[in-house]
Amino acid sequence: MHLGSLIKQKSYERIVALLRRHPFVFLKDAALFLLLAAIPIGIYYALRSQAPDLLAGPVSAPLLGLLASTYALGIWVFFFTQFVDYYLDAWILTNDRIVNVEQQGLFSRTVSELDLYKIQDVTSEVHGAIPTLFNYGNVHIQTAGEEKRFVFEQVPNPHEIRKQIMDLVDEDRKHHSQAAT
Amino acid sequence: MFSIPLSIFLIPYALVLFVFALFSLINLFHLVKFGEGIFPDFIATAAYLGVATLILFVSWQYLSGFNWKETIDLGLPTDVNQLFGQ
Repeated sequence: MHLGSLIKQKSYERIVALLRRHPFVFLKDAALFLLLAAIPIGIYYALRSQAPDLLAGPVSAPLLGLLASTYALGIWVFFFTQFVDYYLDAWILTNDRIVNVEQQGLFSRTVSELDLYKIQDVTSEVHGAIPTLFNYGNVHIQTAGEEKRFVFEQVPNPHEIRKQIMDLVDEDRKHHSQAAT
Repeated sequence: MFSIPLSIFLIPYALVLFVFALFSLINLFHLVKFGEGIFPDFIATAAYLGVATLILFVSWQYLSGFNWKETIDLGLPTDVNQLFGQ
């Protein structure tokens, strides 16, 4: 992200972790892509056995070719968009703050920050059989008052991340109280 | 009879290619601008461009073998008189 330029690190600040969704989350998109890619192969074999004239016709064959090409390009660009969406969603954890970078589709991108010393409560959760098996889940970060909480979605090792954040919060509070005195 | 050339279907296909190129460029722009500039970014970009090139090449090879001057009869008479059997 050119991480340095994104968060403009302070002199004492160090990046502790760069988090993304668990790879299994993306594997589901990859499986969907493979399924979609298999559909025209199935249709081809069905046509070959049931209506071979369609595959050899002077009009139908080029039209089917155009259709197949359009379909292949469509699912490939869709798959790549899913990958970019997955890859560019990230949470940067430093010893001073948390940066939430969220890519929502092609034309929407949100970057927000939260100072560690403002954090009051961190909750980690793993729900479901597959998340339990692969050890991924959500980490909810709550600040004082009505402020919207941060959510690390479907990150690996959520319980360890929660502990790590709480340790960093303690460390940051000490730093701020020392600076105040 | 009313007939259209087969090549007319290449117009919407050209539009599909344009949209594909546009979305590809936007995705690649995001990856280059907001990616980490590390090895997986380059692998992803190369893989995407490689497969896209393969699809386009196979499409070109397959589609160039057809006679696009072929016409499709739509079954409608072009002469108004024919409509009334005159």
